[in-house]
Amino acid sequence: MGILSKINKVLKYKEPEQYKKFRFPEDEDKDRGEIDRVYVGAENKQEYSSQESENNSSEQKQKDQKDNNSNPDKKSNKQEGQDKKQNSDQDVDNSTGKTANDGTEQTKQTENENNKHQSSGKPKKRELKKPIEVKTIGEDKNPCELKEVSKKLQENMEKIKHEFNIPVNQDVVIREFKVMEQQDAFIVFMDGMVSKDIINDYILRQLMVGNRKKQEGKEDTRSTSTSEENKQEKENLTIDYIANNLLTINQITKEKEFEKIIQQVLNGLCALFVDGDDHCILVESRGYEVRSVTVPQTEAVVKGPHEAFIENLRTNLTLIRRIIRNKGLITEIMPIGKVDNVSCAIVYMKDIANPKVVDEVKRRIKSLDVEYVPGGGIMEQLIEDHPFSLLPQILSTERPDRTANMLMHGHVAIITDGTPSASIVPMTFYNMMHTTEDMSDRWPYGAFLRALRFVAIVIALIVPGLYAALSLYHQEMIPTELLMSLYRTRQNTPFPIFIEILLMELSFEIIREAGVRVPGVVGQTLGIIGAIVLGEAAVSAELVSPALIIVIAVTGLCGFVVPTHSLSFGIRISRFLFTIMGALAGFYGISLSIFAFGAYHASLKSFGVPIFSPVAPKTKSGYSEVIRGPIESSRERPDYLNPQNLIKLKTKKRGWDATEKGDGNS
Amino acid sequence: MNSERVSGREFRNMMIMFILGSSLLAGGANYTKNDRWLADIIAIITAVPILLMYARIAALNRDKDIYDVFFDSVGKTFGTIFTILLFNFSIFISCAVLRNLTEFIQVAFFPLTPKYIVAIMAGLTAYYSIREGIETMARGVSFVVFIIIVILAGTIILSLEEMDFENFLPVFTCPVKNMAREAVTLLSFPYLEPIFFLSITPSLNKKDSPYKTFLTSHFISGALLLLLFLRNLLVLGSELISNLYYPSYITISLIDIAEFVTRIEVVVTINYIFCIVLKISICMLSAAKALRKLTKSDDYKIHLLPVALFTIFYSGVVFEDTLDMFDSLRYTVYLNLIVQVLIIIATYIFTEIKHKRKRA
Repeated sequence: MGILSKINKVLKYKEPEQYKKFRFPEDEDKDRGEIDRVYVGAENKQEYSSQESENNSSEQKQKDQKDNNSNPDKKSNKQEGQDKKQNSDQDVDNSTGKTANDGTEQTKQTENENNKHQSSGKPKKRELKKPIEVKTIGEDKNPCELKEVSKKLQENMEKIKHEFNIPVNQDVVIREFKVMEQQDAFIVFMDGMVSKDIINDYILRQLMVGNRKKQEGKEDTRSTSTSEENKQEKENLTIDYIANNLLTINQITKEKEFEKIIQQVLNGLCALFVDGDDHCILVESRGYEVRSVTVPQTEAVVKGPHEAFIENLRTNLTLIRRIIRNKGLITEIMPIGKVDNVSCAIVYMKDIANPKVVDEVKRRIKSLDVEYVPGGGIMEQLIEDHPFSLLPQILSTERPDRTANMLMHGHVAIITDGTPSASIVPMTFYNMMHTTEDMSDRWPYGAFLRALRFVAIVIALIVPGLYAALSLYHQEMIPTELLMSLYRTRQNTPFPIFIEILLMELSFEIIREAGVRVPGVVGQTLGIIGAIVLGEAAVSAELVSPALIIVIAVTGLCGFVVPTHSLSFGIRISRFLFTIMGALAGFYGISLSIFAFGAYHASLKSFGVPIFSPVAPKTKSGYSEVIRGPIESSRERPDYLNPQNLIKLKTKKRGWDATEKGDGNS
Repeated sequence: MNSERVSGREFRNMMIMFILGSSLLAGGANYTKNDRWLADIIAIITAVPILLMYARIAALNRDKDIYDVFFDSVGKTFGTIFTILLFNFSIFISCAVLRNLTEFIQVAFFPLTPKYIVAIMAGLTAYYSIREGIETMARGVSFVVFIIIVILAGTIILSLEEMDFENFLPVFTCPVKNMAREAVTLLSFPYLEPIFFLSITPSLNKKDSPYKTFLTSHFISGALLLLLFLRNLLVLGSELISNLYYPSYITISLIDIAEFVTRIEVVVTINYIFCIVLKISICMLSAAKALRKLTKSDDYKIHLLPVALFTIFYSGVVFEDTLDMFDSLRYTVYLNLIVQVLIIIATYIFTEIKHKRKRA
């Protein structure tokens, strides 16, 4: 008994009888691809010595044969032929088992007799049996269940066809050819995802005719060479040989697992399968349509670079790498969607970023169990700390220079394929109040702009609420003249102040939203119509008071001063809370809501960093993130990020001294 | 067990806000009229030894809150009694402070609004803020405390115009008995109120010294309260100041700069509300931690909501009306001092003995 059958016995695995027969200890060790034929040996006889097992096995065999015969459409003609061969061989076995066939095996009786005639003479001696082709053994294995690349091209082809649903799916192209007119091979790629030039010029041309010179040189010898020499040459055409000598492609990988191969083909790579090799070559051939790098839409600046990310991951990474030309810039690419196979890149500076943050980012992204991630926005929501917070905890920027700046501070950027922006973590509130212009312009201007934004954000948050509180509860705070004029304008308006504010706030938001949705040219008209009709007409119709229009207009403008889109949204929505509280309980309500708002947002963390760092909690360095000082003054990286390297490169940035004079040579 | 970390600076900020608390609007003189400044100084000085005891207890037990210390130092029976007393005190103070707020809001802003509405709003805000833990609260306070101090300084500068330095006179006219009563009152409210912070000292950063934290916050807030009183005294005069419930409020409302900066008391009121909500939060936290110890549960946070609801409800019935509130607070001072001083002294002695034994 063979070892395998013992194991099977332990595992209670019932091996198909038809298959069992062809298994030999010596056969298992040998490479099946090299041996064309196997021989039925004496061991088989021992295995079938008992009467019962023989009967059972013969019954089963018959069933198997019937099964085989009943599904002829599944197999090619060639395989059918092999089937017949196999059947006859089984019969040979039966006869060599020296046990009489019982009546169950009626159909093949005559063949059996013939076989008996051949074998009965010397039953105990090991003798040559009718050979079986190995292919028939492999045939039991469905090529569709292959996990790794098979040595047989045909199986690989079937696997690929099965996986890509060919010919139903017409995007996948399989091109069969012969490598150097000898070795069978095929390539598979997705139409449209690959560059046709690469496929035509650097894969097919190279493989089919590229070495013709060499071939031509050999032409004379080839004509006289025997078939064995030919075979030898054919065997030399391994995948390694092709990779080393034929393919003029800068980036190729050998891959064995079908799962990864299919994944990469879907990504736009081209897979080359060669007969007789259990590897395939993945050729970098990506070349789909991408948008060109353009000016940033939402983060435009006056001074500074005018490049923005695009939808292509590779281009985006290049844009960053072009700014930070340092070997410490690490890019790790990870898949996120389970079905759509979108990948994202985690970018960080190896010597600066806190490894714990990097690990946390990787942990969160690895843990995602989603079938479909349509873009970076969804990915951000899946990995952010507080999904119910109004404030964002991840900064999304479309500027490569800003991303690079953040990376140099020790942040980690996540770039999802198909999204023209980078998600930067950990993020603080103050980072979200920045634009690149703050730094690229001189510091007094930057400082002024930042201060202005903080004022604006406060106005955007609480001014409608304050207006409601003042005019409803605390009229005594308003100077008398102002109060009189306010009163006069409000005399004829029919609605309570709260309703008035809500109406105007809502119409403001609606105008804004409509302006975004309608196409460009109409959008501007709409803005004007909205402003004129809703503002001016509402006042003259005495529906709202003009003071309120000013309040809403100023608030709306201040909301747009906030540079980060999602933060601006959060502020605008929070404004309603303050408006309601101000109308409900005046300053009392506003102060309570400020307290609760502050306490809640102080609890927010972005990847372990409190969102109001470095102010709350106070950290040692990083104040340049809040107040923009001269470049010389920011010597340390933000402390709250716990970067590996707190001090920036040079302690004294301005190495020159005004009192010294150059010698004019340098 | 305790993962929350509060830096010494944040802790100090919270304490300053806590001590300023209701004095931001009150700050009157009940017994001493224009000599309250002296009572203030006496109270500040006499509070120091007891605060040092607080700090010592905190320093010896960096990982334990005051309730654990009670049980460890004076045994289970007395520990339980002490815990119940401090719990009672926390609840009482949080109710009194909440009531103080509701009374003020009712008097100043919404005379017709039922006071429970006001109490519910403030109580739930306090609960909501402390629910996330003391760490969050401490961070949030860092924003506010700076503004409070600036506004306090601003009001002093702005009321310079109204000040009459004659009001300072005559000095040392009040009897010693009154002076003592005033000092004792001030000692209890607010200078020894940081006792509640003993329940959150385990959250204090290990590298920050409790002595420094307790004393700096004590002196800063003491100085601020003294200035605040002097401002009120100089603007209003000694007669008026002892007859008003909210002298600071009136003082600020008198500010009138070029007929434009007028009636800015609302701004101060906002600060007052911040301080009060913080105070309620801390008291609630202290009460919840006491409940945690008494019920032997793992997390104090589950006790916060019951404590908050109880505070809101009880604040409505603890005093009959505004008058009753101010009268009662005068007499509860002596009861409070039992908790603030006697219990602490007992605990301190036993902790010290235990510590000595451990070292020996």
